[in-house]
Amino acid sequence: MAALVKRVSPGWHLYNNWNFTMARFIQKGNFRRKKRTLTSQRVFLLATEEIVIAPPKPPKDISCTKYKAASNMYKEEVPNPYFEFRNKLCKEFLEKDESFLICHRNPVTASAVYDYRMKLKQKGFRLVFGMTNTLLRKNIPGTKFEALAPYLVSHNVLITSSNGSDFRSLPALLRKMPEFILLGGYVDGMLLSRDNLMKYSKLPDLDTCRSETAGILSLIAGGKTSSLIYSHAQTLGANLKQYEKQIKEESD
Amino acid sequence: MMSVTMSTKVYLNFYNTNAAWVIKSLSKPHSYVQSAAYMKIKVAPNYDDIEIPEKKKLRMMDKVPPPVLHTASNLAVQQRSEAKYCRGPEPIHNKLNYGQYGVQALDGGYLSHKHMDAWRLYINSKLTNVMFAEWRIEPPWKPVTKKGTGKRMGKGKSSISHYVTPVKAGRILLEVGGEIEYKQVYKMLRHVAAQCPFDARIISAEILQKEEEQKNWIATNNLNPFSFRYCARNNFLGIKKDLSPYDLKWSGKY
Repeated sequence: MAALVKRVSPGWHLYNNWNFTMARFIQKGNFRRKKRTLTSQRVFLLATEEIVIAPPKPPKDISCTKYKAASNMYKEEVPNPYFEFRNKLCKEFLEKDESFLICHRNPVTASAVYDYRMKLKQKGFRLVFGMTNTLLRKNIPGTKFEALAPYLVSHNVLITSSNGSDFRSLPALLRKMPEFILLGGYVDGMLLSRDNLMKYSKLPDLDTCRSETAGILSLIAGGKTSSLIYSHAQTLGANLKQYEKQIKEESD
Repeated sequence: MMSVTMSTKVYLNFYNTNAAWVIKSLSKPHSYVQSAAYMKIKVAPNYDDIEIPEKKKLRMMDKVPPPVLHTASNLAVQQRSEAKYCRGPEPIHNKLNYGQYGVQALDGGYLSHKHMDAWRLYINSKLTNVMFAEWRIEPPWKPVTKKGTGKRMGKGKSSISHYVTPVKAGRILLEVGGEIEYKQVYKMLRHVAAQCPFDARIISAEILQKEEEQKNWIATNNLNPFSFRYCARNNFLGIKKDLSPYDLKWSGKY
């Protein structure tokens, strides 16, 4: 009861001090009960404290499930033959210079993954699950794939082509697979984002482009353009002025 | 009609069981690829370097020390209650002899025969054939006097009631070793650390090594040019008024 009254009463904190209460009945030296430090002592300790810049920590934008694995990148590695074997496979995969796409993988059932795999196989593509983000992040720096690092963060899946098939048909295929979301990739020696891939898929074939260029070149040799160019100077000038007006109107 | 309805019910029940699922899955084509891989097995630690001594268990400590002066009466002599035996860091017995695990004191204090006997009985009951334990403190030698109840102050120094061992901060009290890991030792020694009258912790050789490396790293990478030792000795901010001579000696740590 007395202890309760003491604590509740005002000014308790001023008198709850070992220096006030425990001046007597100390048989052995006061090395066990630590004395309250004065403000001057506390200021002095803070001023003489060691200032050290801590070593770098892994970035926080990585998802919490993979934080532990990513933090191991900043520690010394113990040689593990299984990891070295997988590292070797990853390096060979990157050195092959094959085109591949990176897709984000939402939660999927195994039966759905099997169906998607069969559909892709029919079109000549291959799903790859073994190349994890930690492996790729370690082997990418210093290579041309360095810009793909922001895509290697969450649960991912790689799509490669087994027969050298065309990647322009993939965006249409991936619309039937709602759990796989396209992020980007490396196609025909170019690093492409999602928007660039969609544009790339809309480009025409090489054969159609060749036929178009051949038609344009043939027009120059004979046809309307040659008759316009070789006409009288006055008619040429009038035609060019009209053409200039047309272009301005289109740009406006 | 009854037989038909029964058979349909049985058929429907069978269709929803696990057996039906197994049969359905067998009809679907599976794609299994045989591959060889390296199994991630945890390697057992190597205990070939460890030498287990003959006497594995903790020995019994005497309550009363043998007399120092061999006189005719063999009377024990009282001593002063001096704080110098508990003040400051331990300079000698702060490392592990066997290089495995132990209990380290973080503050100074006195240990009595009660503490030692309780630890001895508990640890000897937990030791196995491939483990050993050893004391790193002396048996009680310092006499402590006590006046009887109701006695007034004065009339000389009273008689000895019991004996204690003084311990400084950083001293190792016990060592445990053998074919054992840190987790097992921690379960055993946490009771010892909790029963100490001062703060104590359970250490291993790795912990001590890491702390030393960290200390050296901090000492080399310290950016603050004002160290406690230099500023205290040169009376920065007039601080010598508020410091004790032990702070000048041990840089305010003890």
